[in-house]
Amino acid sequence: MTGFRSKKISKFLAYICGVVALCLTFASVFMPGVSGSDGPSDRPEWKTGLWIWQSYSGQYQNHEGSASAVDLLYVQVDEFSDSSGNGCPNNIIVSWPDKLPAASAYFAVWRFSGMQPPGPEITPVLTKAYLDLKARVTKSGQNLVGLQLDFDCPTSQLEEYGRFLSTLRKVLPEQELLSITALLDWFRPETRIADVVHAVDEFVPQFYDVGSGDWQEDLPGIAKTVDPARWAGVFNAFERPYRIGISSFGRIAVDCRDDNAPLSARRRSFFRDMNPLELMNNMELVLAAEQTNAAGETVLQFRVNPRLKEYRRYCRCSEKTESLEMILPSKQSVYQAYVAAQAMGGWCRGAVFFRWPLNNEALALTPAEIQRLTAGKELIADESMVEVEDGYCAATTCSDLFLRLKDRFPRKPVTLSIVSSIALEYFLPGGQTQAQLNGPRSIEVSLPAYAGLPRIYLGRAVTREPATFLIQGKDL
Amino acid sequence: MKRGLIISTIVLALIAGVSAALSCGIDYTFRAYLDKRFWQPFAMYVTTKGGNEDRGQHSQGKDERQPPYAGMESKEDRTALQKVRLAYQSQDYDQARIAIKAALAGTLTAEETEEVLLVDAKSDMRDGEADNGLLLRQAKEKFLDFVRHATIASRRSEARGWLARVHYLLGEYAPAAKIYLDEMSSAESRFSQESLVNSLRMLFPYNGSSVRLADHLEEYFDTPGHALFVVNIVTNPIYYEKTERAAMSGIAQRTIAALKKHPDMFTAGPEAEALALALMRAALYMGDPQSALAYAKLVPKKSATSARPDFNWMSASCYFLQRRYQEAEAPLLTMLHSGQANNRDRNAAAQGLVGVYQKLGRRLDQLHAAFLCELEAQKGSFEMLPGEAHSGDQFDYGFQYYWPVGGWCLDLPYLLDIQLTDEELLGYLKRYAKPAQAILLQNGKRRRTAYEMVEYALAVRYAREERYQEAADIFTRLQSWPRAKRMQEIALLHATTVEPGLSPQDSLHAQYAYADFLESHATRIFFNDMLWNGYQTSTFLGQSANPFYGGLKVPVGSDAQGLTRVERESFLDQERKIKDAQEERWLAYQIFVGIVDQAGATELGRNAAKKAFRCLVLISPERFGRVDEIAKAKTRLANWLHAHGQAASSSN
Repeated sequence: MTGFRSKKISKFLAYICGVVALCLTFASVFMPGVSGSDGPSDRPEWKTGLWIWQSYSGQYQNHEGSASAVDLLYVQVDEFSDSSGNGCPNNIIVSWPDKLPAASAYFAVWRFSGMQPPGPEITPVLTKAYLDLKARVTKSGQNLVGLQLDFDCPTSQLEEYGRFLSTLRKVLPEQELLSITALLDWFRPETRIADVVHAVDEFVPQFYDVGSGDWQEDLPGIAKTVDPARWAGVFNAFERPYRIGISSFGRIAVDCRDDNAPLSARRRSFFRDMNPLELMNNMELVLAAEQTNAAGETVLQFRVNPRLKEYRRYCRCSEKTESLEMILPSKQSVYQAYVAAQAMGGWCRGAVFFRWPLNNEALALTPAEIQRLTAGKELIADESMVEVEDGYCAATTCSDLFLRLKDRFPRKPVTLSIVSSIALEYFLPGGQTQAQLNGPRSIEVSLPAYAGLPRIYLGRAVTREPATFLIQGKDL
Repeated sequence: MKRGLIISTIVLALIAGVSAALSCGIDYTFRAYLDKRFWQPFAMYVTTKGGNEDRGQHSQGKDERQPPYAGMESKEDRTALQKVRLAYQSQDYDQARIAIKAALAGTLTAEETEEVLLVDAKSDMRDGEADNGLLLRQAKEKFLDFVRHATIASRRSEARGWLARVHYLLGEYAPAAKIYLDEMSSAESRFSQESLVNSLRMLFPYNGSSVRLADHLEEYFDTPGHALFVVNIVTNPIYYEKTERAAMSGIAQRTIAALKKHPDMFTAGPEAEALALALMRAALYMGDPQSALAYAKLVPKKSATSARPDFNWMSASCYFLQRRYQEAEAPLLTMLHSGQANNRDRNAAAQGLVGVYQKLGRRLDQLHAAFLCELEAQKGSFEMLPGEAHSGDQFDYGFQYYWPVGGWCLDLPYLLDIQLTDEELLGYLKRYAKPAQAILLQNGKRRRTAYEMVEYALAVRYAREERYQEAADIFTRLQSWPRAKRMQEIALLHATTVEPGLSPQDSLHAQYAYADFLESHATRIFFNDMLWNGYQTSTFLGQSANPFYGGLKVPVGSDAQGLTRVERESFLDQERKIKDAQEERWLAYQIFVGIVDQAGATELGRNAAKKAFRCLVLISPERFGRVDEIAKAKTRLANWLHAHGQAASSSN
C-alpha cells in the first residue's frame, strides 16, 4: 500500500516539476525580463571595457601585458553639435582609427556637445553613418555591436532626450545596440530619467568628473566613490543592463587665484603638456602634501614659486598661482570602484574605464594595469624592466634604452644601475632622467618619486658589438 | 597712399618669404653611411618604360590605332548594337541587358557579337561594383569565357583588363596582378604602360603590406616573372615605420623559403642570376649580410648581372655591414663607373665610398668621393616615385635610391673645413689635380671646380693662422675680390702689430686696430662662406640639448649616428678647434683683453674693455659654446668697467 501511494506521489511530483519546467522555458523564451532573455538588450555576461577618446589625438598602441584582447572598446568616432540650433547638426563625421587595439566587440561613440537634445531629424543621418561604418569595419574583422551617444543632457530636458532616443531606437536595426553615457544627476528623484533609460539597451553612469572643477575646500578628485548601497537600487530598478563608468586617469592642475576676488573665485586650470616626471624633476616645486581622497585617488600638492612664469601661463592675467596638484589613479580608487560595481548585482553587466591611454601617457593607467587591479592584484608589476630598441647604427651598435619601473608611482626616489654585457663606447643621456655612465659597463639612473611614465627613455648606449642590458637596483 | 601700399606689399612679401625659408628645411645628407637603413637594397617599382614601345603614351580608347572600348562608340544609327551601346553609356544596365538580349537574338556580325558579349560582361561588372559580389562573380565568368573564345586581339586585351579589375574588386589580388604583369609584356595589349603601372600600384602601393602580400607569395610562383615581381615588392626597404620594420625579418624568411622551394623555375642564365639577386635582396632584408654574400657568389663574375648597379650596391652593403670596409670599395667603384648607373646610383656609391674611406683612414680619397657625391646631388633631383628604368630587365623595373636624404652632401664641407688637415688638402690638390679640375659645382651664383674649392678652403685656413698675405694671393687667383681685398687690409694691420721697433703704446694701438678690424668683419675673415649656407651647426656633435629637438630630448643628428668613441672624441676636438678658429670675435676678444691688461685704466684700456665685452655679447652661444666661460668673462669685464667708471654696453 505504501509503495503504491509513494508511486502515485512520485508521479504527481514529477508531473508538477515538468509543468514548472515547461512554464519556465515558456517564460524564458517569450516573456521579457524574467531571465533577461529579451533580445539584444540582454547580455548576462560580465564585461569590462575602455573608452578610446579621439579628442586626445595620439596613438593607441597595445600596451605591455595586454596581449589578450579587451572585452569592449567604446571608440569615439566624432563630436558634433547643433550649430544650427534646430536640433539637426550640419554634418556627422565618422573617424575610425586605423590601428585600434584588439577587442571582442566595439561600440562607436558619438559625442554630442549641444545645449539641448538633438532633434529626431538627425536619426536617419546618424543611423546611416553608423551602418556605413559597420559595413566598413566588418570587412576588417572588427565586431561593431552598437552605437553609444555621449551627451551631457540638462536634467530638465531628459524627457525630450528620451523621445529622441526612442526615435533612434526605432530607426536603428534591432540587432544593433543603443547605449548612452549617463550623468549621476539624472538619477535624482522625480526626473524623467526613466524615459531615457527605457529607450536604450544599455546605460553607463559615469562616476567621475561629477563636480564643477572649481576650487573646493575638500580634497580635489576626479573619481566619485561608487557606493552600491546608494546606487544599486536606483539603477537596477530600471531593469535595463548597465555598466559602471570608472575613472582610470589622472590630471595635473594649477591653482589659479585672483587676490582681488573672494576665496571662492579660486579655480583649477588643467594642463596636459607636462608629465609627472617633468614636474618632479622641477627643483622649483616643493611637495607639500601627499593625500588620498574619498575615492582613493592619490593627490599630491606642490608649492609653486609665484615668480615662476611657466605655470602662470595657465592662469588669467589677473590671477596668480602658488600651488599645483597632481591627481593620480591608484589601486584603491580603481579596485574599490570595480568591486563596488560588482556589488551592484542585478542588471549591472560590467564596468567601462575612462580611458585607453595614449602612447606612453603618464596619467592614465594602461589596460594591463587595469587588468591587474580588477583581478585584485597590485598596481605594481613583478619587476622593473629595461627595454632595448635598435638605433640602426651600421658601424657600431646603438641601443636606445627604455626603463619600465615595476612601480610607476614610487613614493620615494629610485636609483638603479643598468649594466651592459660588454664595455660601452659611450652613453648619450636623453629624456628627462638623470642617467650617466658609472663605469665601463654601467649606467646609473636616478628618478624622482611619482615618475609616472610607463616607459622612460634613458638614452642611447653605443657599443662595438651587440650587447644585452640588465638592471641592478638599489631601491627597486 | 600708393607708397604705403607698395611698402606694405614688400613687407608682407618679405615676411612670407622669411617664414617659408624658416619653415622649409633643406635636404641634405651627412654620414648617411653610418645608418644601417642607408645600406638597404633599392626600392623597386614597376616603371612606365619597357615592354612594347609602340604603345607610347596613348590613354584608354583614344588612340587612333585602337578601337574604342566595347560599348563606347557613338553612332547615329538605330541598330541593335547601337541600342546596346546607348544603354551601357547611360549606365542603365537593366536596359542594357534587354538590349543585349535583343541584339544577340538578331543578326550580328562576328565582330559585333564579340562587342555585345563584352558589353554584357562589363554591364554586370559596373552594376556589381557597389559591393554586389554575385554580379561581380557573374561578370568574372563572362570575362573568362570571353577571353577563351574571342578572336579580336584588342577585345581580348580589353577583357583581360576588366577581368583584372573584377579580381581586384573581389579582393583577388594575385590573379589581378598577374594579368597586369602579363599585359605589360604582351604584344597585343591595348593598354598603355602608364595605366598598367598605375593599376599595379593600386594593388600594391609600395611593399604590399596593406594587402598582406607576403602571406600570398606562393600564388605568384607560376612564372619566374611573376615570382620576381612579388619578391621585389615585398622586400622594398622600410626606413621609419616601426611595425613594418619589425615584420621585415619574417617576410624575408618566407620569401627565401618560397624562392628555394622553386629552384626549377630559375634554372640557368639570366633567370638563375635573377634568383640570386632576389635571394640577396631578401637576405639583406632579413638583416643577414653574410647569407646575402653567399648568394652573391651565385652570380658569375663577368656576367651582365655582376655589372648591375643594384648587384654591386647589395654586395657593398654586405661588406660594409660586416665592417669589411676594404672589400666594400670595389663594388662601390664598379657602381660609380658603371655605364648602367644613373646619377642616383652614383650618388649612393659616392656616399658609400665616403664611409668606406672614413673607416680606412684614406682622407684624400674620402674627399674626392665627397666631391663626387655633391656633383651627383647637383645633377638631378631625387624623386621618390617613379624610378628610371634600366634596360635588360624583363619588366624594366625602376631602381631607386630610396633614402630620404639624397640632397646636399654635407660631408664635403665638413671634410674641407673641419676634418682634414692643411697637409691633406695640399695632398689632395697634388693627387687629384686633374679630376678635381673636371668637377664643376654650383656654389651660390658662381660655379667652382673642386680644385678651386680646396684652394679656397686653404686660403681661409691661412687667414685663421694669420698668414694673410698667402690667403690674399689665393683669393686673388680665384678672383674672390672682396676676400682678397680684405686679406690685403688685414695683412697690413697685422704686420703693423709685429713691426719691430714699435713703442709699447704704439704696439697696443696697432693691436687695437687689428682687433677692431676683426670684430667689425665677423664671418668675413675666418669663416668659410663658400661651404656651409648656414648649416654648419647641424653637423656638430652635442645637438641633443638643442631645444629645437625638444620633446623627448633624444640624441639627434651626429650624436645619434653611432661613431666609435675614438671618432667621436676626435671630432669633438676638431669641432672645438674650428669653433675657436673661425670666430673672429673670439680672437678679437683675446686681443682686447690683452690690451686691457697692459693699458690698464686708461682711455685705451677702457675702450678695449668695452670692445671685448661687445665681442662676448655678439658671439653666438649656440654655435660657439663656452657658455660658462663667456658668462664669467662678461661678468669680469662688466665689474672692471664699473670699477673704472664705465658702463658695459654692447654698442660702441
